[in-house]
Amino acid sequence: MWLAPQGAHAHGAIEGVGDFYAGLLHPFVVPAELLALLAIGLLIGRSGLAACRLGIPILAGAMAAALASAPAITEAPDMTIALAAAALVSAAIVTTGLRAPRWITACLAMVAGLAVGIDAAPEANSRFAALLNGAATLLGGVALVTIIAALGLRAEKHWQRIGTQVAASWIVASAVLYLALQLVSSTR
Amino acid sequence: MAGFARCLVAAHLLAVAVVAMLGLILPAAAHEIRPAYLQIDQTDARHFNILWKTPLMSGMPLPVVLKLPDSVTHVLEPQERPLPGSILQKRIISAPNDLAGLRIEFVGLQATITDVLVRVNWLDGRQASAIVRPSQPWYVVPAEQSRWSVAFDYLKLGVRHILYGLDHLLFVASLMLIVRNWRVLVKTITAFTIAHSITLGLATFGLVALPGPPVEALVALSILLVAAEAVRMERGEKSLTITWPWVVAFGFGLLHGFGFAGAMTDLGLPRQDLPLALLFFNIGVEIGQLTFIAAILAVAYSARLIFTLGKPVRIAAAYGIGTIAAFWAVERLDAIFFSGGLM
Amino acid sequence: MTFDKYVAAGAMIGFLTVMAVEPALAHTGADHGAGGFATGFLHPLLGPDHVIAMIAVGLWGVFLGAPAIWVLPIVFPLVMALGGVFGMIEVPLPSVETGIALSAVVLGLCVALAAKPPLWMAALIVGAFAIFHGYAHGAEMPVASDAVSYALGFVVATGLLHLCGIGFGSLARWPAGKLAVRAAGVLIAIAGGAFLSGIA
Repeated sequence: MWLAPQGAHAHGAIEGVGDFYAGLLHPFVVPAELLALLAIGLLIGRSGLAACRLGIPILAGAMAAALASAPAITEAPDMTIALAAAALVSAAIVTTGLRAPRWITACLAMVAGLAVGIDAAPEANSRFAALLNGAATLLGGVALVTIIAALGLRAEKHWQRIGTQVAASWIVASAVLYLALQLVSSTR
Repeated sequence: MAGFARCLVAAHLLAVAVVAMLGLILPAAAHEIRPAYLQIDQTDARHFNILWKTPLMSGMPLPVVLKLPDSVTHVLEPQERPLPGSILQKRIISAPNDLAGLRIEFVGLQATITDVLVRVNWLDGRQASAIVRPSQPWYVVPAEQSRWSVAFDYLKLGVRHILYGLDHLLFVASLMLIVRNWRVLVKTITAFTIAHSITLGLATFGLVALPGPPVEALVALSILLVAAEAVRMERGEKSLTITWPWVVAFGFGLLHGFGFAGAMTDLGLPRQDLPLALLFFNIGVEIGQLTFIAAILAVAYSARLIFTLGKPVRIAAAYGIGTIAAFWAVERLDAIFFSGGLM
Repeated sequence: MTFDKYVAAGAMIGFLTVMAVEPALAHTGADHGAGGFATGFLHPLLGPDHVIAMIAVGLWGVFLGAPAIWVLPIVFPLVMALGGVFGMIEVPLPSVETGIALSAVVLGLCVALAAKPPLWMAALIVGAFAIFHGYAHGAEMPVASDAVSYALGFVVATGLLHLCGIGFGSLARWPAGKLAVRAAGVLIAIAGGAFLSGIA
């Protein structure tokens, strides 16, 4: 890896940085990934500190595993439905205002992590660029979930709790509309 | 305040995660963005001089060909001349209508990551400039161009420059390791900003000049020094950097300003638009810098709420930053004395 | 501690900055259909009958007071999504556009009269509107890769219209503001009547 820069130089020094930023922002610009990560972040945040401490490492691990196995998956399936479903379930729990049992949040975090990881599989020209891209996606996704979880965790005032529920309800509504549309168009 | 201190702890962890990954894998990444440059000067009613300067990347010419529409006729066919670090191509064309609406294509640009700076000067004093990117490798000469679109172009260039200039970001990150509260953070960042604005301005106007490679080597050493100070701070020692981080930020900020100026002067801008371009390039740099700080603080604060991060993390962060900076320093010194000379 | 709010806002601004500056990144989004967001976001804003009715919902929420004011923005998008699903599977629903215009009249009148019916009745009126609203748009969802962002933009725009209504409705804390809010209700009812009778 330390010898790589010579290759990178040929096209200009900053090429790898471009791959890094593209990977970093991938979870933010792909709507389904964003939806799933926001929902899971809100869920573990509202489920309390213990859920965060369990959920974030599980999500990170699942994402890393999925991203790492990307080269082995020859035909990546469209993960949008899985992402929307994970978002729907997570956000629905937040909307009700209930506290989910820890094993449920852990499972959802794992599903969301795997789905995001498979969906964001790096499509770079070189192994080096793919590694950089995937690592950046992992960093961006985990950072996003951490921030959202912390916001959910700190939502102590009444209006803040309502705010998280409103946001969750928006996510549920979007996911329901999307999933219903997929269902309808597949049966026709 | 205790919460803030702990938040900073986490900030370091993240700073290291982001920058260390880039730095370790991509030691070459901290070099300047070197755009290609196209200048068109009107000499009389129908004739234009065209100057096309492309950077050499590791001695290789940029694989981009300038393509003009068939409506223009060449009075002087393209002639190439090698310069240190770049190739200069000159030609004279004849074209109607002030060039307005002329479409110039940069064939092959989309396969590179190089930007092209385009500059058109008409005899009546009118000017147009633009930055052409690989995603849209052509330029259409406008009838009129507002100053605001020029300003906005340079604003964007400034943001890009700082976000892609990892050594500057790493320096800011290492300062954040030493700073322990809001007031000192604001003071330190302000001092850094003022200092690099001063030297950026002086160097861009050509009042002060420093050769690029030694500046880059010193920038790497400045990061190393601040990282070392951060480790000393964790050991409970006192020093100038630890007591007054903004003094150090100001001093090294002067140095980093020369680094930014390298990017600006590489563009070879004419004097008329320079104050505007400089102002907005600098504003862009500040926006990028504050973005970086805000992103690090946001994640760090959040992580601190959830996980326990302590002194070992801070020390590890300082060592991580120091290692990368040391590598850069060696690499750049090597480039000066053994590999390339003073360019 | 408001620190986290500032930081979150800062990170958001930063993110948008990077997005604006980095054309290569905008590509990633476009490939995955981030463009659908703008389309979806604009959709509810382009139908004036929908807009006034949704603002009326927000205004009325203020007069209804707690708990309606905060139950409303949570439940409305869900009922609306249900309506959207009805639209997609083509559940027979009579005269949708008339229903929307009628709901604008009813909601506008409720605001104008500062009506305070029992919660179940308010929920019924608002819920009926939500079903009609979702139904009208559900059929128009694009069957493309950008359906997710379209749905998101659509829901967010609707939610923001509510919040506008609630925000304006908060003027009702002062007597003069209360008058202004009720006057807005009258205007909405009149506009709804115009849509209903086919003038507009």
